[in-house]
Amino acid sequence: MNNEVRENHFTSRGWRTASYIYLAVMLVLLYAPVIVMIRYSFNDSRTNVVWQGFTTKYYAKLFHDPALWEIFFVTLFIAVCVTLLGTVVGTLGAVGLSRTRFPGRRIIEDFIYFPLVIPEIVLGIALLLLFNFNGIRLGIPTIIIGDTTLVLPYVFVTVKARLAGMDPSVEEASIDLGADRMYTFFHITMPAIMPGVISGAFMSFSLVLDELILTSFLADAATVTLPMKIYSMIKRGVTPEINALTTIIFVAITVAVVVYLVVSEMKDRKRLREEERRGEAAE
Amino acid sequence: MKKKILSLIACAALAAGTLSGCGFNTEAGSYLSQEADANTLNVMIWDSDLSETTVQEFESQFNCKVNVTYLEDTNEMLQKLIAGGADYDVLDVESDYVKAFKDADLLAPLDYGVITNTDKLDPTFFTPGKGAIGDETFEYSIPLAGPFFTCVVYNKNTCPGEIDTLADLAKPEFKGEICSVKDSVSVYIGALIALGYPLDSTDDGQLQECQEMWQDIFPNVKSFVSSSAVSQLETGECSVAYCWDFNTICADSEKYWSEFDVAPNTGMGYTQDWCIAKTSRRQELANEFINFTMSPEQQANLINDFGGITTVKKELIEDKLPDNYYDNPCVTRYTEMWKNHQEFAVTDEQNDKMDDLYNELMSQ
Repeated sequence: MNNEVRENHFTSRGWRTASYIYLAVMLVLLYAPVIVMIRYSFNDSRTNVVWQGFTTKYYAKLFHDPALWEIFFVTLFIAVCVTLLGTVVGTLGAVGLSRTRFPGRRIIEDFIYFPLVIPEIVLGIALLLLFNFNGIRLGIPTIIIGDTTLVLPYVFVTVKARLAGMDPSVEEASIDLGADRMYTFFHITMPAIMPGVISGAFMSFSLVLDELILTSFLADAATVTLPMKIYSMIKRGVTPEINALTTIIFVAITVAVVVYLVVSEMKDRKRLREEERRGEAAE
Repeated sequence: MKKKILSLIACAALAAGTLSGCGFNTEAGSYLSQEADANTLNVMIWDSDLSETTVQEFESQFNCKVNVTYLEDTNEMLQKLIAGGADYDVLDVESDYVKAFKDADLLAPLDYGVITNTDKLDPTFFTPGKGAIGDETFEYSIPLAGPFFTCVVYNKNTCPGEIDTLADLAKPEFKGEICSVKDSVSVYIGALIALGYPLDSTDDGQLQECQEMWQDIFPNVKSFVSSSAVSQLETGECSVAYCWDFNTICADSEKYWSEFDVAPNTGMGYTQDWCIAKTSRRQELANEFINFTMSPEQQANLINDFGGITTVKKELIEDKLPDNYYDNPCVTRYTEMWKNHQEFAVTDEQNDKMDDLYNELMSQ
C-alpha cells in the first residue's frame, strides 16, 4: 500500500512537470554554448565578441585556408591513432588483468590509474624528460605516445566495468565446448564488452581532440594541433573562422553519433523480431 | 609449454626493444644531430603576426616548406630554446626581450646583405642606433611590423573622467569601470612611466611606489584579464582598460574608430621583431624569409589580414592598403606615440621583483 502511494506521488503531474523543466534546464546548460558558437560563426566581426551582422565570409575563408585544414587533419590523425592504440591496449589490459591472477596484479591495476590523478603538466614534463634522455625526437609519434598514456586509464576503467558485469561462466562454457581462448575472446567476450569498448573509444577521441598541455610539451616545430592554434589566438582574438571549423566538427560528430544510434536501434529491433519469430516457431 | 616459451620470448623481445632505446645523450639539442631538412623553415610566431598568403607565396617562390608554430608566451619560447630541443629558425620576439635572448646567446646576427628591403622602411620605425635595448643597431633583430602599445584604452562616450596618466585610474569615478591585463611587466612598467622613473628600475623604493599606486587603483578594477580586454570594452562591461588591444579593436570595425581612444601618456611601446635562432641550420633561408616579409606587398598582406601598423614607407604601400587605412586612429596615434616612447628591456632581477609585487597585489 505504501509503495503504491509512493509510486503515485512520483508519477503525479507535478513531478512530471518538474522533471521536464529540470531536463530542459540541463539541455540548455549543455547546448547553449554550442548554439552560441554556431551563431557566432556567422558574425561579421574579427574579434567575434559583439554581434556585428550576419556573414558567411568566414566559412568561405575557412575553405580557402589550407593551413587551418592541415592543422585540423593533423589533430584528427593524432586523435584517431591514439583512440585505436589506446582502445586496443586498454581493452587487452582490462581483459588480461580481469581474467588472470598473478603476484603484483593489483599493484599493476592501481598504477594504470596514475595518469588520471597526476596533473597533465607533470606528465608532460616527465615525458619530455624521458624522450630527451633517450634522444627521441619530438613530433607526432611522441604526441601519440603521450596521449595514449593519458587515455589508457579511461578505456581500462570502462572496459573493466563492463567485464565485471559479464557472467564469466559464458566464457567457461565456450572453452568447455572446445573453443580456444582466441575464439572465445573474439566471439564471446568482445561482443559482450563492445559497448564498454566503444564508449572508452569515444571518450578517448574527445579527450585527445582538445588536448593541449601534453601536446604543447611533446610537439616539435613542425607540429601544431587545433587546440594549440586556438589557444595562441586568445591574445588577439579567436576569429569566427575557428567557430566555423568547430561548427563543422560538431555537425560531423552529431551526424556520426545519430547514424550509430539509428543503426544500433535497427539491429536491436531486427534481433528482437528474430527472437520473437524463433519463440513462435518453438511454440 | 610451447605457448609459455613463445610468450616468454615475446616478452623478452619487447623488453629488449624498450631498453635498447635507453641511453644518455648529453649533447645539448640532441634532436639537432639529425640531418636538418634544407628546404624546411620553422617559424615561431605570435598569432596574427604573419599572413598565410605570405607563407604560401614564400613557399612557392623559394620552393620550400614553412612550418609555423604559434606562441602563447615569450618565456615559453625562451625555455624551448634554452632546453636545446627546439629546431626553430625564425623567431618572433618582443623588443623588450631581445636583450635577454641575445645575452643568453640564442640569436644569430641578421645578414643585411640578404635583408635588403630595409631601404623601404619608414625611418620612424627603423633607424640604426634606435633599436631595442641591447640591439640598438638592429644586428640581431628587426621589427616585423609597426609598434604595439600597452596603454589605457577608453570608451569616449562612457569613460567617467579625464585620464592623463595611469595614476588617474585611482580616482573614485572609475570604480568598477576598469579592466586590466594581468601581466606583471605591463602593470609595473606602466606604473614606472606614470611616476617618471627609469623603466629598468630595480630600486625597491621606486617599485614600492608603483605597488602603492596599483593598490590605489585596485579597488576600481572590475576584472584582470590574462590575454585580451576586447570583450570587456566592446560589450561595455568596462569603459576603461589598461591593455594592448587598441589595435585589435580598431581592426575589428570602423565604428569603433570614433568610439575608442587611448591615453597617450600611459603607453608602454614595443615592437615584435624577427630574429634568427643561433641553432638554425637554415640561416640563409631564414634571412630570405625575413627580407620577404619586409616587402610592401607582404606588409600589405599582413595589414589587410590582421590590421596594425606597417613599417613600410607610406608612398610605397598606400596603394596596396584600404583607402581609409591612414584614417585609422590606431595608425595615427601609435605612430605619434612611437616617436616619444621609451625603450625598455626585461631583466630577470626586475622580473622577479615585479612578480613578487604582483602576487602581493593580487592577494589583497
